[in-house]
Amino acid sequence: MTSGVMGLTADEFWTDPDRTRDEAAELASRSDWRGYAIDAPLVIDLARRDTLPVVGVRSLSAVDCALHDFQRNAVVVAARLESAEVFVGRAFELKYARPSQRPRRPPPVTVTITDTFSFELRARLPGLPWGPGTLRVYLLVHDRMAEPIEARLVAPAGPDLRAAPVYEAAWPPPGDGRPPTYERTAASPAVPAAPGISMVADRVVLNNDRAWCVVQGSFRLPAQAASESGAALVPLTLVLTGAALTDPWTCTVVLPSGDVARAPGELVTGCFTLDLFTLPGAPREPGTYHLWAFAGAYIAGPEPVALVPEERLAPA
Amino acid sequence: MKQLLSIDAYRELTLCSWDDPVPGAERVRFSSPAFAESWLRRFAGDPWAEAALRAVLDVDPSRALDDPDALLRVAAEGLCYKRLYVYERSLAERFTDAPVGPKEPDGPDEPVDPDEPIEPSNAKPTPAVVPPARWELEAVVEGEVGDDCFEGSALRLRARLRDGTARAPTATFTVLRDGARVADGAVSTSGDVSFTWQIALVAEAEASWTLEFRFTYEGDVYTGNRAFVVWPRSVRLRGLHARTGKPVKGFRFTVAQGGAAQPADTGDDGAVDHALAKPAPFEVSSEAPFVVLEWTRATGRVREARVERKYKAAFHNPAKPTPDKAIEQRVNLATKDRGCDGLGSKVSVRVGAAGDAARAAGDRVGVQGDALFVKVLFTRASKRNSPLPAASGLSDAKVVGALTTGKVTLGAQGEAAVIELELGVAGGDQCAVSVGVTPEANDETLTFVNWRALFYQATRPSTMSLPSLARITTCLEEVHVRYDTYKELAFTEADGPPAGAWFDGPMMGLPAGRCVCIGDHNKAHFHSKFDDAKNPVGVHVLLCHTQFDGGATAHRSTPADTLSKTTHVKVPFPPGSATTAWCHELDITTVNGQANVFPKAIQDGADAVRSATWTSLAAAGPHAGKSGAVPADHVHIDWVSNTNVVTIKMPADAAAAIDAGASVRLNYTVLWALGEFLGESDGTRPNLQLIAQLANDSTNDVMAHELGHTIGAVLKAPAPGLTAGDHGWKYTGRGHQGPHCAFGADAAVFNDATKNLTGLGAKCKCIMYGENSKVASVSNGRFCEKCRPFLDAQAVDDITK
Repeated sequence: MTSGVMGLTADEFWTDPDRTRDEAAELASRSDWRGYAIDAPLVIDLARRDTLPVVGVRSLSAVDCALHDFQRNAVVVAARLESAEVFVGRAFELKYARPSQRPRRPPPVTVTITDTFSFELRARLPGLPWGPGTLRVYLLVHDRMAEPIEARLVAPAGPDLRAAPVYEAAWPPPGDGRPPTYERTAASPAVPAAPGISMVADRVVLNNDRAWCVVQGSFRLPAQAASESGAALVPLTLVLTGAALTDPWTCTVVLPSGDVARAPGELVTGCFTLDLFTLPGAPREPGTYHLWAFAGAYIAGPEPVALVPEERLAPA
Repeated sequence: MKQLLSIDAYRELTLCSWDDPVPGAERVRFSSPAFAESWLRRFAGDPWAEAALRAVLDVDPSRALDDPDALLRVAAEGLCYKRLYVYERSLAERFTDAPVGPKEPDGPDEPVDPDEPIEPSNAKPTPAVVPPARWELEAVVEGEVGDDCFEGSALRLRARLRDGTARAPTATFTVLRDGARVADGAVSTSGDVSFTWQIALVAEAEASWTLEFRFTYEGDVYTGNRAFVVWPRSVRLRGLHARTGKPVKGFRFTVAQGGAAQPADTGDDGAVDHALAKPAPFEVSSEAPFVVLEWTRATGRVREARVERKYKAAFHNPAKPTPDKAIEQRVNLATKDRGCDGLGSKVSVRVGAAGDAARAAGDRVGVQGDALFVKVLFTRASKRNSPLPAASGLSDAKVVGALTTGKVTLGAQGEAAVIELELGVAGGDQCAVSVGVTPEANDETLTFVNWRALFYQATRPSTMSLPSLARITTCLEEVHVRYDTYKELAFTEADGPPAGAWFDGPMMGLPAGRCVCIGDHNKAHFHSKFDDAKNPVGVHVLLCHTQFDGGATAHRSTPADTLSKTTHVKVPFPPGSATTAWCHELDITTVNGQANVFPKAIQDGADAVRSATWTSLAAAGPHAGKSGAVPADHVHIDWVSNTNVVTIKMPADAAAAIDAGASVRLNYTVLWALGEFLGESDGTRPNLQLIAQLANDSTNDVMAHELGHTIGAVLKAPAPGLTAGDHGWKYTGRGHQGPHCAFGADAAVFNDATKNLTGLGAKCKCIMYGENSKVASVSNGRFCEKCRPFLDAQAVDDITK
């Protein structure tokens, strides 16, 4: 039995993951498909396996290839659906090396590049819980994303009893006249009709000490916990990708909902307005970034955000 | 006139004027002034006796005879020339008032010549035909020295008839001990008139006794002209511990006689029988470190004292180094001897009496219960606060700041006491331990300085010499890390290395000769040569000529190009030549910003470009349906002069199709590599280093940089007691990978999080700055003043994780 785009049997992900790579690359190269695709075993028997191999193929025009420094900028995200925990890391190890080079000559527009890749998820995400549950795995490259895959980790011992993180209050706490705020505003996107996230961000931000980098959003998501006041809380993990980042930036905020959840998992709604610059470790290097948001199986983005230094502004 | 001269438990001696006889008492005249003076000398220094002499002689104390010696001489003359006599009676006689002793002689009224033979004072005139006998006495003691002799010696007394005729057949010798008769010997007056007696022993309570003798013939008493002082042949000395009262073995008394001193060491029973060198007065004392605190028997031939053997405290283990220097304690290594082997942060310091470390239990100077005073001073260079340096095992311990004072007590049979030290794990921290037998604790001091030790195995290609590692050694010493080699291994191409590892140097711009490229595609093979005998503090320094990563799964791409007259132009082939052709050109950095391509793939040594084929896309005509392989000689790759560009010339049929206006599709696979890297620490086993051959300083600095990461420089989690704010120049990313140090950069640039920090090597000299050069290190080869405290604070106890 084979599964996924690479046509590997379940065991072959561990025993011979390269068996189909040339064939898959050849097929992709001769097709009109362009993009990223990943594959992983659907079911992992925890009694037999302690790794989660991910293989993939990409096929891009040479121009896109040059723009997307794949080995340097690929980001892997794993969302554990049972607990809505999100884990983020680089897809590939980046070593002590000189900065990436740009091609000395423009990439020929007639060329397409196809190649395959692989990584081991646990090695890339050291904090990933290794117990029964379902992982949804995303591969992000700037503003591109491979079709996510799901891998179910099973154990004969029964269901995972690992407790989900407990959130007791909104974080970051509401600001005094500036973000974050958790009230609906005129600029708030509409609350999605179906479960999900709506998000918009400032497209261009002047990158100085006085600047705000505002992200606004609304959500209809399963509640994970309730605050002392009874209001539901929803964790949301923000991820920034970008060429200026050697590691993806990520931050989990805890959004309050005006709704009262009678039970965990019940859908609740809410809005948020955040200033990215006030969140811990938010990048300030000039460049173009793409903002993603993850909440369990739900995703929003990419929202492009360009940080522009004042010296690059055209004189008035 | 009569004056009491002396009285003791047995008798009294009264000094009398010759003209004041005691009724019924014998007035004995001394035969010579010298003997009389020697007899009187027993009273020298006795104020009672001196007063008696003065009174009887009627001497004014203000006169010149206040000199005791002159007084004695005058008195002696008086005893000899019938001005004085001594009346002796026992106390019993005194109390009954019954006189005893010889009858009072009728002595001559005039003084006699002292050189004349003794004339018994009671001699009576006899008929001229039988002249009275006059005797002359002599005494000899075996081994006598002057008038001193040993107990047990033979005393031989002899009387010679000097004048007259011995009418009586017998006479009697009498031996007096301190004036009391102890022996009588009746002898025949015919022939040799002598008597031999073994001198009695000195009693325990006595230091000596005085032997005198008399000769009695026909009622005449001749007093001996000599007296002997009898000394013991040996003295018994005993030492008891001042505190415990137990016998002290090995205590040294000093026995002095006439200016010569001899040692006397006590045995198991705390006593010693010391033979006197000669019959003479002796004094018993002691010299440091042996101290007599109290004499419990201060006189006599048996003496006993409460004693103490004063000594200096000393370190038994670890011993104080010779010459004196601090102990370099490698706190990150496991000890096999409770820290006394210079390893580990916990040290059980054993202290005791100086010299006892080498003595058997029964021979130790120290005694159970002896208290030794201890001072422990911690001088901490590091802010690390866990584990905190501390001393334990002390009684009466007091801690004032960095100083701990207290005491330890010696164990059974003087066994060493133990001071438990926790030195902490931070490099550079110091601990000075002082011990002594007084509260000053200043007998000996031992100093520990915390160091950490790392070891490395250098593995290199046989065609490459080992670079000098003096620079990294010095660099690490500044953060108290010793970096010692324990193995060097050279490997050769003949060892059966992975295909593609060895190559001709010029392919990568290196000198002619076979070189080695190691990267993530083959490093496992070479790291397998690591003898990890020093785990977890061993480093594998794997050296190679150059480092590129071919990928654990080989980096490969499959480019496809569609060539036509409208999209391409003919270019020189080979590049730089005058001949042009239809060619596909691809800069491999299009695939990956750090990709490199070489003529031969480093992953397997075969051609990097492989499986190249072309297919005519002509829908009709003579070129429709044509396809073919691209020969290897149509591929040009020159990493050195035309970096990373793959040029593929179309074969003749393909070129003809293009010339005819058709499009031609080219497919091929190319293997490429990431790099070039200067060095790395393995992602999962950071003690595995891979270092490329660079300029020597660069090689050292890359090694130190990677090792710095491994042991915690600019770490995300500072050691306990430190905070990231203590550093202030740590940055993450900003053009580099991971956390690094920008100490030296302009503050305005550093504090502006929007600024990239690449290219600041001219200012950022810390070895932990995020970039370096393969030809000229941008670092000064040292950790900066901000990084050093963080590295000193790291435990460095496991570099494998």
